Amino acid sequence: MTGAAIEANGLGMTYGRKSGWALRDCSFRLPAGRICALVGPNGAGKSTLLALAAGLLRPSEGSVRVLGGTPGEARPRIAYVSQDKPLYPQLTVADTLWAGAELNPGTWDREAAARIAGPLPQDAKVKALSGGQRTRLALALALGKRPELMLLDEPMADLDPLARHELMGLLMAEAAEQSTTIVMSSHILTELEGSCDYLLFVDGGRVRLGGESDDIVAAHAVLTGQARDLAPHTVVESRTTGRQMTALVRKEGPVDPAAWDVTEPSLEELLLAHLRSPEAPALLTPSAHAGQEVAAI
Amino acid sequence: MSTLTPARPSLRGPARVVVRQHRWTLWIAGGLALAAVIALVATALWSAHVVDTFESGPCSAEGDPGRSCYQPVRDYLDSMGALSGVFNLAGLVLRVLPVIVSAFVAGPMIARELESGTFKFSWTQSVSPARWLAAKLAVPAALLLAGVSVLTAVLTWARSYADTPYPVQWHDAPVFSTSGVLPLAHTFFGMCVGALAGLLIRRTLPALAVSALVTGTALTVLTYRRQELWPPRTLTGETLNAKEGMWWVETGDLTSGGERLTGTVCSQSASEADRLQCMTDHDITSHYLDYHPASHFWPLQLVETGILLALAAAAVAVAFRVLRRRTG
Amino acid sequence: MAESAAVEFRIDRRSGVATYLQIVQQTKQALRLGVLEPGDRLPTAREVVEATAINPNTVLKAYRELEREGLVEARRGLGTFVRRTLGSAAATTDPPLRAELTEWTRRARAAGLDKDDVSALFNDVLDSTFKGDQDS
Repeated sequence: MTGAAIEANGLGMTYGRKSGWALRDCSFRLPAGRICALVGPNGAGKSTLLALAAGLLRPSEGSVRVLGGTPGEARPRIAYVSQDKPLYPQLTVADTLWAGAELNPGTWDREAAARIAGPLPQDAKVKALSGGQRTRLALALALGKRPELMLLDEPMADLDPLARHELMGLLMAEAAEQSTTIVMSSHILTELEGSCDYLLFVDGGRVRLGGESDDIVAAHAVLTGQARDLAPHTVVESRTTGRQMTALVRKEGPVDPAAWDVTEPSLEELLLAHLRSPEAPALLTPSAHAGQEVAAI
Repeated sequence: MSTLTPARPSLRGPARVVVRQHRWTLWIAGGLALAAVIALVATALWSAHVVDTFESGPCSAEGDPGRSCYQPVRDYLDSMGALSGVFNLAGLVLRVLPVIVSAFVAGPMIARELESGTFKFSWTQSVSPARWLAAKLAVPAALLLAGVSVLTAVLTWARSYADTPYPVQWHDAPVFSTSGVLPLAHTFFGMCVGALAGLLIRRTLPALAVSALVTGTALTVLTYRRQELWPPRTLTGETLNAKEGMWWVETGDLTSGGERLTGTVCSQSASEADRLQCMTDHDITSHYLDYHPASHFWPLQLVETGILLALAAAAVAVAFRVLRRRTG
Repeated sequence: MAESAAVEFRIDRRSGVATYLQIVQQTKQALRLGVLEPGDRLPTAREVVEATAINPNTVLKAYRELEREGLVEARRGLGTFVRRTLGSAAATTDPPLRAELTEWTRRARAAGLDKDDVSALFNDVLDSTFKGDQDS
C-alpha cells in the first residue's frame, strides 16, 4: 500500500465570520488501506473534514489532496455518505439503485449494491423508509461504486445493534477484498474500536491525535504512585488525591517501575483525558505527518 | 486499481436521472401541451368552417347588414370573437410560460436540491457539480426547444384563421410575443435566470419567487420598449397615408423648419377654424409618423432575441462560476 | 477451490486480550479439539470480518503469527491451509507434569496462599517464562 489516501495541509474552513472556524490549521496524512476512526466531540469539525475531502466544499485555507489529486479529480473513486444520507425522496428503492448505475457508468457493481439493498422493499419510496433502511440504501450506493476511499459520516447512527453488526461486517469484508480505505466518523468511539486500526481525533477544529491506534495507545501510559514530578514524560492529565497521584502521560523514555505502577490506557480513557485537557500537545505518529513520501509498507 | 474509467463523462446518466426525478411534472406538461395543440387545431378548423358557412350565405359583415342580416351578422361576429378568444388564451399561456419555467427551474429543480441536501446524491455518485448543473439545464432546454417551437408554429397557423373579420395585427404585443422565435428566446431566458436564482438563493420558495419576478419584469420591460430596438421609418406629409399593418411608434407635428413637436397640440381645438389658427401659431406645416412596417418583423424579433440570449448566456456563465467557487 | 473449514471465531472485545491473539488462540484450540485438521483451509479474511466486523488486518496478522509458528501455510491465490496438528495433545495430560503441579499447588496452599494468590503467582511465572516467545 503506497501513498496517502488523504493528505491535508493547513486545512481550514469557515462558514462565515459569525460562525467561526469549523477547522483550523489541520495537517495530517492517512495512508491508503487503513480503516480510520474519525472521532471527536460534536461540532469538532468531523463532518466538515469529510465534506472537504469529498469535494463538496472548497477550503477557506490550506489544501487537501485525495488519492493523489484534488477531491474533484478523485470524485469517481470516492464514496461519501453524509449524515443525512441524501437520497431523492420521490424515487423508489429500485429507482435509486438504477440512478446509481446511471451516474457511475462503467464502475457500477450491481451485485455489490444489491447484496446490501436486497432486503429492502424495492418499490417503496425513499421518503417512506425508516432511518435504518435509508442507511442501508445509502451504503448500498456507496459500495456499488467500488470506491477506493469511503468517507462515512456517522454511518451507524440510525442502526439497531443487529444491523450495525451486519453492515459493519459488510464494510470490513469490502475492505478485505478491495483494500478500500475507510474513514468513519462517530462521536461514540466504542462502536468503531474493533474495526479501526487508524485514529484521527479532532477537537475544536484541530487534529489532536493521529496515527495507528495501537501506536497511539502504546505511546501513553497510566502511572499511579506517590505524587511527584513526572518529567520527562508529557502529562496529558493528572489527578492527585492525598498522597496518590494518577496521571495519564505520553512516555518520553522508560518509566521507573519502582516509583510507578504502569498500566496501558484504553482508547476511550485516552480520548476522554485529552478532551478534559485541551492544552495537551497534539500527537501524530510518523505515518500521519503530512507532506512526506512514504515507501511501500 | 480501477482501470474502468469511463471514456468521457457524458450528460446521459445525469440527464436520465433528472427526467426520472421530475417524471410527473414532465408528463403533465406534455399532456397539457398536447391538449393545447389539439384545442388550437380544432378551433382553427372550426373557425374555417364558420367563416365558410357565413360567406357562402347572403349576408356580409361589411357595411350595413340590413334587417334580415342583422342577427346572422351578429352571431357571426360573436362566434368569431369567441373563437379568437381561444387563440388569445393560448397566446397568454405562451407568454406566461417563461415565468413558469423560470420558477420551476429555480425552485423545484435547483434550489430544492440545495436546500434539502439531495445534491449530495449526485455529487457523490461521481457527477461533478458542473455536470449536474449542465444536465439540469440541458433537459429542460431540449424539451422546451421542441415543445415551444411546436406550440408557436401551431398557434401562428391557427391564428391565421382568426383573420376575419378583425385581422390580426403582427405588432400587437400578444401577437408579437407569441410569434417567430420570441417564445423560444423568452423561455430560454427564463430558464437561465431560474438556474442562477436557484443556485444563488438556495431556498426553494424564495428562489422561485425571485426568479419569477425577475423574469416577468425583464420581459415586461422589453415588451414596452420593443419598438426602440430597431430604427423606424418615417412618413411625413400634410396628410399621412398610414397603411394597414403599420406599427405606429410615434406621431406628431412638424414645423416649417423641420422641428418635431410631439403630441398633437392642435387636435383639442374647438372648431376647424381654431385648429387652423393653432397650426399657424405653432408654425405647423405638416405631420410625421415614425412607424415599423411589416418588413421590420424579423429585425425586431432578432434584436430582442439577441439581447435575451446574451443575458441568458451571462446568467449561465455566472452560475457555473459560482458553483466552481463554492466547491472543490 | 476448497471450501473453508467451518471454524467460527468469537471475539471478546472486553477481555483485554488483543484481537489477533484471540484468533491465534482459538485456532490452536480448534486444532487441539480436532475441529481443524491438516489440509483444512482456514476461513478467508473476508469471511472472518464479515462475521465478526473486525479489521481485516487483524486477521492477516493472526494468520501470519500462526504461519510463523509453523502451524499453517499460505498458498498464494488459494488461501491459508493447516499444516500440522498441535504436536503433543498428550502434553496437556502428561502425568509427571500434572503430578508436579498438583504437589506444588498443595504446598502453596499450605503456606497460606489462597486461590487468587496462587493464580497470580502462577500467571506471573507463566508470563515471564514465555515472555521471550511472544515478543518477536
